[in-house]
Amino acid sequence: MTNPAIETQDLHKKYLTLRRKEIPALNGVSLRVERGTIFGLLGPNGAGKTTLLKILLGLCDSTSGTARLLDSTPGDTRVRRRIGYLPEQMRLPDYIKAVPFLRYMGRLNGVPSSTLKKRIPELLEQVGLGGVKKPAKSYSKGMLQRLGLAGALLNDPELLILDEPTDGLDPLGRKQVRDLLQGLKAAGKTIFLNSHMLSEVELVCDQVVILHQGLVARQATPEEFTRGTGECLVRVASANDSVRAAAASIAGAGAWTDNTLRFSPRDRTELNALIDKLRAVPVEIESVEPVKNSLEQFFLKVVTGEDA
Amino acid sequence: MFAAYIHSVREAVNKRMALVLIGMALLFAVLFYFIISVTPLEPKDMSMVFLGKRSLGPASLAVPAAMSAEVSITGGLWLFLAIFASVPLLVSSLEKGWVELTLTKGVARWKVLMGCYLSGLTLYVSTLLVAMVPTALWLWMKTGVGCKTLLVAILIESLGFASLMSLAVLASLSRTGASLPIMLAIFVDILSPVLTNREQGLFTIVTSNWGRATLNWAYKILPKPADLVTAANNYIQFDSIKNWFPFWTTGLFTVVVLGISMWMLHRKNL
Repeated sequence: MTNPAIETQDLHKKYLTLRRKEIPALNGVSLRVERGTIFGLLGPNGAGKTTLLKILLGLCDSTSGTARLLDSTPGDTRVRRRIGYLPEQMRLPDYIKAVPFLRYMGRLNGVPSSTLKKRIPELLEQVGLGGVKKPAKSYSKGMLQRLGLAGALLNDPELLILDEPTDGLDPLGRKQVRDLLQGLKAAGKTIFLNSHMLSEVELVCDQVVILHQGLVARQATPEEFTRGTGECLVRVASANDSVRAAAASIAGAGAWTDNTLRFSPRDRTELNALIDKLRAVPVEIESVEPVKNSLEQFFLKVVTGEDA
Repeated sequence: MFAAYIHSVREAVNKRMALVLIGMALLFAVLFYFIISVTPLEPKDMSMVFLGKRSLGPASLAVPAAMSAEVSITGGLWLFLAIFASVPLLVSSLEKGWVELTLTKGVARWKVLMGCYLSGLTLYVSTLLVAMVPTALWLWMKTGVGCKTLLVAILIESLGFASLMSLAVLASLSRTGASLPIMLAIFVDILSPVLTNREQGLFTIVTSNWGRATLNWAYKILPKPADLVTAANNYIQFDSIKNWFPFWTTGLFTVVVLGISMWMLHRKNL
């Protein structure tokens, strides 16, 4: 079994105010990100996500606990050369243009000039900024985000840490980023994704962690989070009185909304029996679909404490 | 460090700071061209140098005197200008949103900051050269009297600037903008001649022993850009350095403050 790309053990972080008052940001975060996966980090504002990212990137120290990235400590500059990072709020000097910016980022990461010469135009093309010559001050939020993404990919990193990568992007841009992430995953890269776009996380992540009040509140796959509720929706062409009476004999506790019956069958046999009854009325059945939780619903349950 | 240095130099050019400073340096050189005049004498290999209407004497004495006057003027003025131009380079390198990009790369933090510091020094030295070397060359062509000591004098002045910039580096770690580092550097620059001449000035006000001892210690510890300008002046005129105290104390101050700054940046939670 290979070592994980990221592993934290009982990570604590407390900030001190000027009056020496301790403000806890992380209260013992333990998580494990396997190599070659896309890992989603979710949490409400103030949950400790940014602090966790800062610790992983060596921007700040933890108060206690351990964090390891690619078999080393977060502050190790050799390891940082194998990491790509896209911050949530990038602030570039007004005058800087895409190519000099990427060249500087590449040089800080020790990427040889010959590689940069070849890789920068490729990446700019890949993120949809090919041929853009204007300085950063005239970039939209989406363009900045694309440039940041190119910067994160410049050193062909083993581990990508992306903070809100689709923030400010239009639906097409978001789709491009999703495809890009899937492609990177297929190439064996590990992606650590911090995002508020729950639908995005649901679509691309293999594992999701919900951080709440500085703790890992839940860790599971998106499928586990969105597993069916056991209910299903049966939509018929017309729910007249005879249809409703037929349904009542099987799905007594079901509830009608217009032409849709929502009920919880005990098993598949009961569901089939209901369908047979309705067909016998007769009425046309338009669809039968299970009711699933969305990640958003699950997330809200966790952060509001309903899930407890 | 080289990447950060190059980036910072480019930033100085792109933000027009370097261009404004170079423009002023050229203006300075042109100004000296007009206020310094050379009048040939008989025999032909002799000439007199004038600063405006005032005679500075025969070229062999006057060229060093003229360059010395230039060093005195630039020593004070250029420090101010260069601090205003260079400190924003340090501050911008630590700005939120940018620092997360640079300091998460595979390079030690101190190298990024040192690159910016060195670019500030380069800006100072290069513009000082632009301001002073044309006059020296022109005088050399007109009189045949060279002033090689000028280059050493510029380096001596640069030590003063380096010490003030090291203070600015330390203050810029507070990440509260450019005001604090600029104010601190200028305050120490202004304080320098006051402390140097404390016996004629401050000691007439401060009469207590402990007060005077404090001022003596402040003079010993703090950088001495004013003394270094005087030393640069003397070096041009007499080709020798009599007092090494301002040199090693300012150098030590610079190294220690830079060391503390780099260590603090290394330890800093960003």
